[in-house]
Amino acid sequence: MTDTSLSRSSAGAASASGGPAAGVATAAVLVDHVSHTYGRGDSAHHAIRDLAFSVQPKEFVSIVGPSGAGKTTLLRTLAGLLQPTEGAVWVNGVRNTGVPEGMAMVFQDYSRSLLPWLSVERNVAFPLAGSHHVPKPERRAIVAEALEAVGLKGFEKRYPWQLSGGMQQRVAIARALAYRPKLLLMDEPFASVDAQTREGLEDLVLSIRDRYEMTILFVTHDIDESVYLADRVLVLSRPPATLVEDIRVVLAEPRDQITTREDPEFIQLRGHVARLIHGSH
Amino acid sequence: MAFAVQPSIAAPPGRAPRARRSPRRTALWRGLAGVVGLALVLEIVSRSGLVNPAFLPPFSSVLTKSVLLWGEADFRADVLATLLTYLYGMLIAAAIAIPLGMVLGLFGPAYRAARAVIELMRPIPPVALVPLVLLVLGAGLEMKLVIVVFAAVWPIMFNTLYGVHDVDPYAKEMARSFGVGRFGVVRRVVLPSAAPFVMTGIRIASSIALIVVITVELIAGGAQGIGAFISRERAFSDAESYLAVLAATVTAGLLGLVINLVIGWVERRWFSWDSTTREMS
Repeated sequence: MTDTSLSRSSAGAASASGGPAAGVATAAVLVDHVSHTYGRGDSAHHAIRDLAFSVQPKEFVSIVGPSGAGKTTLLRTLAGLLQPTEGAVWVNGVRNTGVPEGMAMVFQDYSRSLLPWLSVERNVAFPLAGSHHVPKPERRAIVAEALEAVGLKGFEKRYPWQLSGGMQQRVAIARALAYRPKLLLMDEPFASVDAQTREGLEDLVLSIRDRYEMTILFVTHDIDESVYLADRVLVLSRPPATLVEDIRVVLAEPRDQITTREDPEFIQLRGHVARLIHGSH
Repeated sequence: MAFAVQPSIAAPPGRAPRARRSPRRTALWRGLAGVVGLALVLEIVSRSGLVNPAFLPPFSSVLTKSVLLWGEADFRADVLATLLTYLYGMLIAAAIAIPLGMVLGLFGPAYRAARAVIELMRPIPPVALVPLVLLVLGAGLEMKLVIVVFAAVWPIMFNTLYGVHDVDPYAKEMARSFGVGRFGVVRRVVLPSAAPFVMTGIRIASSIALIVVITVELIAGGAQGIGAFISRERAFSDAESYLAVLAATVTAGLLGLVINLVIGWVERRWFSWDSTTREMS
């Protein structure tokens, strides 16, 4: 059930040789002893400290921790939006100096990450519109496919503010899909939708993961969600966040909202994660 | 993985929800009722002999006169002169203020450097510049333009600046996460996001500009325009010329109203995605 040694040793090997060692270069994500501190002196806030783990291609990894545990900081570091004060992040064998290639991110606050002046269609095409690699007819096909994948066919001409919260987040997911990422980062994407919508979106994520063959890193504060979705759950501590445990999740596939959640293994796993987070073994 | 995505919460696709017409129509009727009511009161006050009818002719006569004035080529030329000065003034002001506001909004150091100069110039009443500009440029179009541009630049510039500051950092981060560069973020996120603010600036500047044009025409002798017309007619000091003065004033008011309606239409047409604009209309 627990599997901390594997990922830790692989990350350690990389740092020892000063670069991605053979084998580690194949990792989709390698977090090499990353620390991040906001500010300096007395007011400094140590968000994460000496985090080290790796994620294999097509793995689905959930990251959970108490609120304010530096989960978002970690994700921003992976996305190249933030340079860590110590350590390095490698995405697909390339060290992050900025936003890595082939990475897309789904933000928590869909109402702010979607652009209100663009129609659904144009929002989804946003990551493609700037690039000259994708010719226009192809762009249209990619957008149509992405919208179809999230079940929003027929809503192309609408505007985000005309849609419900769950639908807006699906637009944001479609936008990420249109970018055809190898790595998808999701930052508490379903934190502000109702429970039922949330279940639908969780299953949506599982289905697109199969279809698009992506590596997914999914930050959440919802313990059930982290276990339900993932192949592995990384549990972070209170800030400065360190890795408490790296848990392998083995559950019957495909996952199902009712039967998976009834599975004794699921119940045991979620209990274990909950104890780790609440710090009461 | 079976998943069912039910776009159930929002309305079915194909028909974009539009603001119902009736509230706006009701508002229109109420506004019209107010105007008619005021006209009736003026008419009664004037006809009853409560005031000297030479100074306050019956509203119906003023209205008739303002229609009759359109038959006079001189008056038409004056209205055109006012309108053109207003239009050129607004165009030049926008051409100066929008780029300036963008630069000051995007670069903090530029704003801090320019702030003292701006705060020194802004409180100067535009009309106070008339004697100086009259000396340098004479009583022609250039003189009027300088004053109008000076008056109209501030609201546009400050609103542009606020618009640029108001851009959601989240939206910028979203764009960055898709590998959009610094310039691309300005063009694709900052500019469109600030546009409704710029429009608000234009709306405010517009009413100021019209007032300033007519005022300058009134006080700077020899100029053309509605103000100059009023100024010339007033010199005759008889009942007929008072009527002309009032009729020209009503025409100026109508001009302002039409301009406002056009701007309102543009805002609804292009910026209905903006929640503030949406609430206003």
